[in-house]
Amino acid sequence: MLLRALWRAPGWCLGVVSLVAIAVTIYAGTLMGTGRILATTERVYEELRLFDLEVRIGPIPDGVLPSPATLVSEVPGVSAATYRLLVTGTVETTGDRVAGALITAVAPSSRPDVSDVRILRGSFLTPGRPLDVVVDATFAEDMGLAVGDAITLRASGRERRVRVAGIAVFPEFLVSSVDDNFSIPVRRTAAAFLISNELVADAAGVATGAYNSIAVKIARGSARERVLAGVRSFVERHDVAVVASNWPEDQYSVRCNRVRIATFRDFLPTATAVLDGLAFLALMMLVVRTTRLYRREIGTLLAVGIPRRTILSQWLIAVGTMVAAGAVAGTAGAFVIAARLTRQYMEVTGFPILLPGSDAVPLAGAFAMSMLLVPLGAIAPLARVLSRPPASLLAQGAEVHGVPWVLRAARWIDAAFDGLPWLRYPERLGVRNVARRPIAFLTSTLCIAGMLVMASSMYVFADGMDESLSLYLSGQRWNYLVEFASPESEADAGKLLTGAGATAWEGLWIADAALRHQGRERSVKLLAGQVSPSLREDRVIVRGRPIERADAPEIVVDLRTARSLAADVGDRLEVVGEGQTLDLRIVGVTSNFSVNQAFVSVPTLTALAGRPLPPQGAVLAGPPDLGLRLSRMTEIARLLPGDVLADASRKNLSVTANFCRLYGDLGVLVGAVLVLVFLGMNIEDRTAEYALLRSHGFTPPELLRSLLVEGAIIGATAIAVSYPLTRLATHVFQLRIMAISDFYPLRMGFGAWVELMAPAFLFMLLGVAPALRKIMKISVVESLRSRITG
Amino acid sequence: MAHLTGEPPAPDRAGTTPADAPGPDEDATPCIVARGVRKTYRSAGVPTQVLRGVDLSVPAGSFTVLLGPSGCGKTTLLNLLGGLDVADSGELKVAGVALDHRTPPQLSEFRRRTVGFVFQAYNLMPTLTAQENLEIVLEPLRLSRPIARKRAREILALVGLERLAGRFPAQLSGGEQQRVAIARALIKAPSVVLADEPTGNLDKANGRQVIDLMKRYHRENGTAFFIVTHDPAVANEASLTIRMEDGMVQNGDPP
Repeated sequence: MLLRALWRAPGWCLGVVSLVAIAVTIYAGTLMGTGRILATTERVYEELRLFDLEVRIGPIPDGVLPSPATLVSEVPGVSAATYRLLVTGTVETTGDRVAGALITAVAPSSRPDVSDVRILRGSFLTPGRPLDVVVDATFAEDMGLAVGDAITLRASGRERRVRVAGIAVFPEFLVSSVDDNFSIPVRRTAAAFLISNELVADAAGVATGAYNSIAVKIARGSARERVLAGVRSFVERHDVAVVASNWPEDQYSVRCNRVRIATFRDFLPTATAVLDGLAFLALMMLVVRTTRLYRREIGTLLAVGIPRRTILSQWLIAVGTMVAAGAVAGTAGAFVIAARLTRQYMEVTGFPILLPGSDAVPLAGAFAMSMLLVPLGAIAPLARVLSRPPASLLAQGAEVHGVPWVLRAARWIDAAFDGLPWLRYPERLGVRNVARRPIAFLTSTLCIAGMLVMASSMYVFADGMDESLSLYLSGQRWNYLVEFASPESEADAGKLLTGAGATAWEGLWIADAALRHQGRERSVKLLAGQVSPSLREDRVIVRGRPIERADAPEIVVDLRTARSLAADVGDRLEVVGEGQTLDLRIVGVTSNFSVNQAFVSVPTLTALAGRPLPPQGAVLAGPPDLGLRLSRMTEIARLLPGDVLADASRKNLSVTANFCRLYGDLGVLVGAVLVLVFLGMNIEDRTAEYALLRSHGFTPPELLRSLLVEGAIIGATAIAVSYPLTRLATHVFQLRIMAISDFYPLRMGFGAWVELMAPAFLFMLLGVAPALRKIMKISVVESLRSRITG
Repeated sequence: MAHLTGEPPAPDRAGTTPADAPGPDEDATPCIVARGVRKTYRSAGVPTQVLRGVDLSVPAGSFTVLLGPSGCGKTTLLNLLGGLDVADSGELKVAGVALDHRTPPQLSEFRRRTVGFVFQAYNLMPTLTAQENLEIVLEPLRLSRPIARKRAREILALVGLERLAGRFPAQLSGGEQQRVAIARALIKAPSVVLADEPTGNLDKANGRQVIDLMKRYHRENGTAFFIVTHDPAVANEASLTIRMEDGMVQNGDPP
């Protein structure tokens, strides 16, 4: 009986079910999807024994350092180590395109103890076959490569035709082991290769190859800084200088995989709280309405001796069944969202495998949150009815449809409209209908406003990501970025690049440095190039300005670095370079697109080094065929086409942005459903009132006008309320994003907001249409037979 | 319009009896005329003929009571007379307005100006005060707000409820609610007041008060009342009694 009772308010039921379903869909779906990605990355990280610490050294011949086994035994906290040679190069792909090649050379005799690969097809390297390589699965798939195929690989000014021996899942999708400036994981920008150190030995004309990287696994419970100090000491004891140390969590690739997902998940509590809050309101209104409709039935049950507890529990079971139905529908939606999220993520990043995550935990959490709504939303209104004596429930007297003082106060609202001569009586009726049902009006307005806040925040976030990327790309005025195989003088580099067809170029300098501020220290890559205006102004300045004068002692750092040093624009940093220590003032802070980097002018870098440095690379502009010519030059070690990087960055961000927009769309959809529900319920609740007005000569078009005014007032008020709330939400979101992830400028100007809300308002007005149909269908004779005031 | 204030006097105090009331003006044009009116409803596909050819003529200014057993078609006839429903066939004329072949807007206009309704269940708007429940009926007549307000106060005074003008229906007793409903029917000074069991939900004392109120208004203004009722107290006040049975009028012509 009680389920039927609830079904007497189908609109409210639909509202509650859809709100619960969407809350579960968004919460569980996002957690499941991101959970699967994180679970995959973590398991692959463990399975491939990816490094916890990488120590970069100058390239040294094999034999200079004792074996990795010695390092493990001598340095406390190191559980495994591998020596490797890491080089960048290029690989020819289809047509005139080239991709960066991230090459790791290891001994072919055994699998690496640290940072192995997972062979999917073919085999690992074989001793005695130096031209065999293992290539990453996504690149192989994109290029249609199979085991046995030949490809041309260029690195360090040398070119080799090599054979694909194996296709594998590479660590580069999780942690960049070769070049952490590369945007990994980003499909098609680079390919990872594992080659035999016999090939390196052959190319370099040495006996057993060389290495420049020590990959280390840290034993559980060991202090990482102490391990780094131990490895550093071990290396330096053998007269080898440490060039840099590399922690996975500081890398771009890791940030993409973990931090960005964490940012995405950070929105979930807000979105879920809004949806569950609205579901709570709708549920409470449903129970209030149903108990009012069933007042006499409840009175009868009490009169015949049914205990209050029994009625309460039966009602809770009925409401619980309805909420559970919403949660079950949401579970189906969650699987769809999770599958879509993972599929898009895999597609964009090129991560080749997906392992199952623990879907049960987020599903159980979403289900529990939904079911919690049942006692919260239902007990209070039920208790209010059940506490009344049966006689009062059975009485024929009039039902109080509102608190008299509230209604009396509301009279002043519509009285204010009486003075408007252009407001005709149907419109005035609409105003009065809204003003005289303040609780229903507030509930519906808040529910719709809540959905609009959620939707517009999601849209603003998605637009913020696009804007952030646009800012980045608008400053990218170069077509190619190259690294030289061996440092060239600036004059030689100019001759080389213009000879290849570059129409403009600028040198790039990179050096390692330590930044110090108030007792804190951080190692960074110090980048130098031409000061603004430049071909490369793709650093998004969040605060302050770029360096404008080459001779000024100034520095620009990224957000993360600034935060770790507790420094900001205007502060002075002690910068320790190769030869000198300088006192530089921070003039700008960049977004986290470029993490662990600091930017100085070329004269500043020269002063830090204590000598003139040759450029290690360059950015250049030129015609489309310039890329192919550059890739074939032995002086070029690495080539990164700007459009490929832009496209990859766009796709990478699009996953999150698309899902934000999807959630925004869901918010608008639920908002529209709520408008339908509220107006529909309004009509149903007031069928007899409308019939009465018809009996007094009000025509259907007049009633339609009044209803349109009602819809417009509810919609406009909801939109107006949503504006400050959305501003607040975007401000809070912005702070969260700035705290944990990349910079996305979340701006919501009034004009943009109006642009966003205009279609929503029209959508809401359209939502009046089914209610209008109901009014047209009202049978005056039938409706007046039932009491409307009791 | 009558200018009475305070509680309507009881018949004995007013010294009037049903016999003293103005009787139907037999020379005048009848205010209600029905000729061969038929109406069939379909419920779940099953047709039920409710009116089987109703013929009646009600003189202007009469206080007519329609009696009959439940289900004989009284309310259906009342709805047709009020332009709330349309007959399948036959002719209907109320206050000189022929109701057959009328468009919905024309029927709305008819209800707006010509007839006033009183329902058994009062049907007051719960979110409007007593006074506002009256004013809303005047809105389609496009009276200015001050005039509408003045008329509402006057008519509330007529039914003895001017002190309760600011109360909401839930704050009024059943009798008071029905008096507000009668005031709402009278405020636009209709030619005919159609009432469906106006005392059906009231106790004897309140029922008496409502009858007296209608009767007094009828006497002083000559407005025709057409009342469907089972209440013998109402029937006793009639200047004309019509009996219906099985969808047909037994004595439709004036006595």
